[in-house]
Amino acid sequence: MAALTHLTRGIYKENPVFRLVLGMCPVLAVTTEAKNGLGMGAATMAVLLGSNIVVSLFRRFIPPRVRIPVFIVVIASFVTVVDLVLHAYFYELHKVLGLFIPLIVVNCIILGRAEAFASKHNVFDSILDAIGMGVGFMLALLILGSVREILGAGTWFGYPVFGETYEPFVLMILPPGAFIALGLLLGFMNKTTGVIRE
Amino acid sequence: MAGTKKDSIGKMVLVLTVTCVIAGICLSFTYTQTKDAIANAELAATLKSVRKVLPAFDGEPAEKKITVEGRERTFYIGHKDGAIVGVATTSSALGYGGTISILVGMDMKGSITGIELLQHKETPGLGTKAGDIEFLAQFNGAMLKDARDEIKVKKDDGDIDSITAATITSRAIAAAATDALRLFIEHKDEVL
Repeated sequence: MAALTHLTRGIYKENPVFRLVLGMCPVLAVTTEAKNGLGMGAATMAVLLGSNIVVSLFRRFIPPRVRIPVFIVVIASFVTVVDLVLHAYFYELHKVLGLFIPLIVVNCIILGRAEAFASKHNVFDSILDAIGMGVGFMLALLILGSVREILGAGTWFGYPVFGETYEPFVLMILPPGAFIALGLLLGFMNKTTGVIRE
Repeated sequence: MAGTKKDSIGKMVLVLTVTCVIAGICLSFTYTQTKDAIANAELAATLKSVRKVLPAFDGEPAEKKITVEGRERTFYIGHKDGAIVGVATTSSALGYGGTISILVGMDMKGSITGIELLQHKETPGLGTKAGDIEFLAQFNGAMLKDARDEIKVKKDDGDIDSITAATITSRAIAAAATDALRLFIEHKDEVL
């Protein structure tokens, strides 16, 4: 079923982080804790959903030569809305993610999906695509955040997972830890998808 | 471009203009809708911190702004049964990763009743321990003996046990605490 493929593609086969390696800036920067990864993933998904719907709705009216500026205006508007709403109703999360929320504008996944998918497909398919890609991105950030928080701080969502005796592997929550964890996860994904193809 | 229908410049300008106008309207609408909620959230966060660093007080703390060396400093004053139980003010110092700002609660004698970490960019796992209650509680009761006295970490012959592997962070907090105490002592008349 085509519709189902639109939905599932982003989660595994074309996972934006693990397969397409897009949007690395927030992926590496905010995933020091599982909670931050989840929050950033959700914010990105909200923007992606909004921009995919709008771009898909108006795709016939957008002249091809000015499509990129139009997409960017749409995306930037949604990001600002998300930023304001988070600031107003999720104050603590906004304090942590603050700097990275405006950077969602330049996240390649969102412009990429507007260009490659939403501008060529109907609204329903675009919604499915946005949910699929958004969930894929959110899961990737959650996994990376979990790995780094569990190893680097010995906690998950702030709750201790190991006993008192665990000496945290602090490197994992420092910037180099992001690259190490991401590299290992990418390798793992490549290995497992290779096995499935065979 | 092959296969691309040529659009007139007029149409492109029109589409871009309409897009921007709509975006502008949506944004100003969201802004006005969230403005009060954002202000409330900021205020609630500040009040929550003030409550943590001062002894129990009645109602809302009074706010008093004074200007010192061109900078506006805000004091939050807590009253209980008509008497002042303490004042709190924000203070900052340069840490390892950037500016660290803290809220310092003080009683009338100029001794610290509590410190709350507001903002920092310290190293996760090391400097971030500055937010731990065990570390910050050490400052409670600390006061300046004279105008030149400072709150210092043990490495600098002070009383504060610094955080392991985060001496710079610990020093910054001690310096910020000193600054807040001094500010209050020197400008007591203006504040109260």
